[in-house]
Amino acid sequence: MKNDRKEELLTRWMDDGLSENELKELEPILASSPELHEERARFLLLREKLRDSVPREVDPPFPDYFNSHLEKLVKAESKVPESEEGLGAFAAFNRRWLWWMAPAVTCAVVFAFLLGMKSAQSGDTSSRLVDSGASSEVYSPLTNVSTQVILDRDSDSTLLVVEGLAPLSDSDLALDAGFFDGRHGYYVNVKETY
Amino acid sequence: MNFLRSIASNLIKGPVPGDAGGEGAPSEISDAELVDRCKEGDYGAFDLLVTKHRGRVYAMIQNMVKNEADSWDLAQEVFVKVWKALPRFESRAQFSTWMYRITHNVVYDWMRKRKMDVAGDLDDNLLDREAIAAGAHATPARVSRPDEALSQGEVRANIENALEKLSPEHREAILLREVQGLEYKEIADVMDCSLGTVMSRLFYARKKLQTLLINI
Repeated sequence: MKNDRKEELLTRWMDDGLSENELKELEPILASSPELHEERARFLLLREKLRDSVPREVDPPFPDYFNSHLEKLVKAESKVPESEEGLGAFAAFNRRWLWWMAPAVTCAVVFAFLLGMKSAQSGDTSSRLVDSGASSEVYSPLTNVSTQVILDRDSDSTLLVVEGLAPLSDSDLALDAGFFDGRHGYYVNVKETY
Repeated sequence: MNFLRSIASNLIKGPVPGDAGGEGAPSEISDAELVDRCKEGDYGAFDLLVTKHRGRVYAMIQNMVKNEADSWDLAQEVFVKVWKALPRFESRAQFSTWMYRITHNVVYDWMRKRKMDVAGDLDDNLLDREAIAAGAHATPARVSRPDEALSQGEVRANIENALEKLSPEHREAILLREVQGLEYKEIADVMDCSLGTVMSRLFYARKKLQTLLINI
């Protein structure tokens, strides 16, 4: 008889769990080793003492706290998987759309840039231009100089755009009266402007 | 609410049933029913399930790790895992067997971690009394009179010492079979091994116990 089989039969014999056929199978071994009967009797006694000494059930210390603390742990743990799942789903969404989103975002940026350029070229200042300064006069002796007066009521300010001039300092500009003693003088009629 | 829960807990605890699973007693809500309610998210049902089984889980862990504080924490960990895994629990299996399986995993994970933590710090085997030479002066001498009857406390202490000297696998097999009353197949499921391995572990664990406890 194989050792494994012998161990199994002896173990089940100790537990009174052998069928008739299995008992017959074990008989030669029991006959050759009569001490096994004594061993079995001692084990049954030991089992009783073991069951008396080692309780099957022991309530943990502070059993009520055991339950309430467990409830806190469970609720805390329950939140983590949800958020992890949420993050996981979000990450998966990101991975899936990454290759599509990147060119789309690039196109959107380029489109916005071009739109901005076009808007600047079309003189979008008209939206802010309240009065083109029709009541103001800008005089310049130079024919190649063009001027534009922009009045902005919201900001209470006037913008004078002069194109075609050589660089000039603040002192070259005279307001309100007469000609300035400079080489180039500019007179701005500020009447009715503010 | 807590008062009502306390009453319910005491009612559900009741006497320890004869079978290993704790199922089938007419006055109790069955494990299967409680599990179904848990699966629907009823934490009250889980609380009852915990109250019903915490004693066995704690006793099993304490007999394996021999430390009250660690046992308490590990028992908590077991039930947290039970709660998380309940949606995947198939009702064909017995809840108590499945719970013992989770307990087994938690205890063995703890043992592995503890072994790694103490590695290099202290070799517990150095303190093993069996490793000290029999004739050494350090060996505690205990001469018992032949007619001396050991008190129940002494018997218990001897049995606990003997259990500690078994390997974790042998100790667990003995505890599951002799104390918790599980069937061989259930033990195999809990310990994740073959039926043959269970029989072999029981065979050698019993022999070793008999040798260690020859005087009682």
